[in-house]
Amino acid sequence: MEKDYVLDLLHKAVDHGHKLGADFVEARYDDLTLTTINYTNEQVKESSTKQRRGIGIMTYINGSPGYSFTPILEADALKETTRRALGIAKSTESLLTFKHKYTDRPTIKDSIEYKVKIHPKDVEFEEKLEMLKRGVACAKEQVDTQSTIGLWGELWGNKLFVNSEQSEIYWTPLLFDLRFVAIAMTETTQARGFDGEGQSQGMEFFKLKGKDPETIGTNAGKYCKEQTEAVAAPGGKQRALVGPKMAGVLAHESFGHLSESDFVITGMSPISDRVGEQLGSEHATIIDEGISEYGGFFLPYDDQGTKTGKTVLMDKGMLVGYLHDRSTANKMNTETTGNSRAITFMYPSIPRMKNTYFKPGNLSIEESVEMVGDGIYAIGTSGGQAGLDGAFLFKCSRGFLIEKGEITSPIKDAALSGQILDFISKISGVGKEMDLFTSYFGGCGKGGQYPLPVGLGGPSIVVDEVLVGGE
Amino acid sequence: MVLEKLRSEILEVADLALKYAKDMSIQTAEAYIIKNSLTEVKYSKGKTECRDGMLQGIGIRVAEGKKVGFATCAGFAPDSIKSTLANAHKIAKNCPEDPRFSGFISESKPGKEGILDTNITELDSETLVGHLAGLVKETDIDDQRLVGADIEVGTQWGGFAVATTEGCLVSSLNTAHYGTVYSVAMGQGERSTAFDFKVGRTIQELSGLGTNAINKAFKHLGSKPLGESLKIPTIWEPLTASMLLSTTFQVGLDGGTVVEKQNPLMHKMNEQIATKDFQLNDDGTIPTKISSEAVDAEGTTIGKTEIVKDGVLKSFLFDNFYGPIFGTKSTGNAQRDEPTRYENIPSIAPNKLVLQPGTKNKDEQIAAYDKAIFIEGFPMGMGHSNMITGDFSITATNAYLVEKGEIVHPLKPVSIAGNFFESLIKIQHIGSDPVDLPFPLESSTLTIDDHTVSG
Repeated sequence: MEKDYVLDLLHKAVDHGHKLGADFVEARYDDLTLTTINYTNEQVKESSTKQRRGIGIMTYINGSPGYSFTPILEADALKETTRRALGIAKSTESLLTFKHKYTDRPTIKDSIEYKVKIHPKDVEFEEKLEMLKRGVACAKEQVDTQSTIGLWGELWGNKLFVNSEQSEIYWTPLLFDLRFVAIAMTETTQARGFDGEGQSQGMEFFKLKGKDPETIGTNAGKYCKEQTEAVAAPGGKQRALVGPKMAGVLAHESFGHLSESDFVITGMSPISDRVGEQLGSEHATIIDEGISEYGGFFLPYDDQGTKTGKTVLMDKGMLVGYLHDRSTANKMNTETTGNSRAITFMYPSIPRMKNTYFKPGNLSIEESVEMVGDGIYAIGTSGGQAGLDGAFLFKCSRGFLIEKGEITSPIKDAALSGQILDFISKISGVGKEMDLFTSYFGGCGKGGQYPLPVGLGGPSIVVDEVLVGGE
Repeated sequence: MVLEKLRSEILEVADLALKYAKDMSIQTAEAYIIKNSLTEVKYSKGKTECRDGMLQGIGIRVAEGKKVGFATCAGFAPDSIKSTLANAHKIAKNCPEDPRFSGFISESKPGKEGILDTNITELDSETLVGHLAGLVKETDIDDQRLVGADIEVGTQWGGFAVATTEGCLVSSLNTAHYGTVYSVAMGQGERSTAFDFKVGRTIQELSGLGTNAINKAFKHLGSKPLGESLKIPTIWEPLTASMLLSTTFQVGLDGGTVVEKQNPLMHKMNEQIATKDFQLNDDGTIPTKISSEAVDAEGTTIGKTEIVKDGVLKSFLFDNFYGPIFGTKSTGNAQRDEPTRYENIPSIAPNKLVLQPGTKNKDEQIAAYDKAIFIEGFPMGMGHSNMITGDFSITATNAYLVEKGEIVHPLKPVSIAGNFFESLIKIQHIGSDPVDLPFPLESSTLTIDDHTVSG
């Protein structure tokens, strides 16, 4: 679709919104291509391309928001979509006490084309399938597999944004995700090993040392083999070394969501009205940023046309900020942080995270393990869950016992749970190695919008106490 | 009227897609078309978020011999449909052969469609906001313990059509209305959360949801630690029990993972997997259930499948790909994942698993124990369990200590460890109190022995 044609459509929708009485209008265009290859048991289970193209219109009248969307890229359809958005905005006006108001901003005209050496769209299907085949072959060399899965996912395209301030913003999202899973039988059960890499990068990434499909596949096989020999994790309160992947999930799921300004402004978050308080240990610094030197997801603008920056949420244990959209920033008399995001044109943007991570410290892995002494090393995770009351539970899918300052036996699946503020206050050391990643298979879920690409990660973290649910 | 017009439209689009396929010399194709009106209004302490729009899209599978490609697009623009066909065709041509592929379905007779409520299609946004306003009023109480309540009401109506070059052309329509309230309470520095909801194919009576959600959150304030680790019977309210069994059977009944040798129940056909009074059927024909459709996502007629009889596993669930590989037919259980459906290839999922009720209700089950743990709400971590081994370790944030047949006090979060499949054998009571829930499986209150509870 021609960029100028779409820009014209978006401007017309904004103008039409004003004609119908809207105070402010935002028009967003997504043109995203998603490609999936699922290579299960050495058969292509799915090979697909999805074209996600359409326009979403957000209107405001007397501070009341209303959203509608359409995949029909024609002026009449846009008029109807704008009318529908404004209609629902008017309907809820009487219930509203939080009036959406934006701080004035000058017109922004920007165009950011994310450049990589080898774009995934320029690489043929056969080459991607070959990567999956090579990774699976390596996984099978490590362990007698009962079953294997190789997954390739890529997302790229164009996003355009226009609003009542006459801003015009264009940028090009990009991410890939390569994963391998190995499954083996033991005498009593099945064991599973997983490894993967998700980044906003070009295919040249796979030429980096340790990032090639062979290494990732080998890791999946090795981790599966470990699980065939795993012992039960010790239950109860344990000292723990939490690896970068698990640390990222904790930073995102348990702390990040609590800092989202819609939860904060309504008082639903337990960290509402607590800026300036020492909520964590001096080792805990948590950051959310749009474009990170550590990798993750490339996000130059949010879906309200705000340029993303670096937002420090917790600085050495002190709560210093929240994640804002334009309305909540105005209400709380602060700068917006570029955190208004929508999964597709079919949804309104809401406060969401960008790339969220614990800031690295200065411990080596050896020093961290020694600090733990006796406890567990929680490395891989199959995800988890967190509540607005601060409770969390995350599954450790790969880990080891730490005994007398040494990494010893692999452990079976274990659940790490607790209260996030309690967890953060018990961090006693932070490693120096960073891993920030994003994902195509999975992502952030909120308000029915799943999976939104985000970045998450961190260094390894030493925590003095966490509840481990083993056997 | 509106729904029948929509049916005609999606059938026409499906037919048109096949016509384009023929024009493009594509021999074998399947088109899945969906059009759904979505209206939702969310409210949190005077802040609203609203969406009103029409989801529409098409997912096309093209087969070149035994090579299959899939592509999708939003909307029904002729150029988009043609380019989607071309994409799917290109993928199919480049894809390696899958010798197991046996084609798309050739003909199908639509089954029973669920109730369609025209009051939902005619509901305007002002009336829907009125439903919201009722719940806002209910949750606007003068009680300092209440931190807040998030409320959502909405409607969905529309349908999907499936057409294949083999001669299938079918559709299914649906209507839904729902309301949810999620409340947060606080007392003596301790937070408690709870929720209540209603969803159905007709206009629902939503009043009472707000009060229930708030009272549930208040009820859990003043919790005390369990302070020990026990192997003890756990009593699961219908909602929580449904979540436990849905997780178990969504994975355990997937015939696709049986074929792919990843299913924990794959060697258990005709074996005892549950207590003898455990009777489970998959029934996609119940007219009141929001999951009921006339056909599944591949166009196969939806019916009823006996899953567990007297505790013995009688069947897995299949789609049209894995059924023939296993040596059987599709059981009408192909579904496409939410929220868009058309963007996803079919996968296997239950239509509606219905557990035959037993004899004792919740209170009678609680009264039967000297010491037990009663669990409400959504425990954390269920969906992240190891479904291959079946081992789970979850955190229940709304649990209560039962002593001498009565609930004594709420508990601070407790971890509950067990095994999904062993739990089926250790069920001590199946309740007489099933609840209508939008879950793959609807259970009544369950009591299960031998879970390890710590906190």
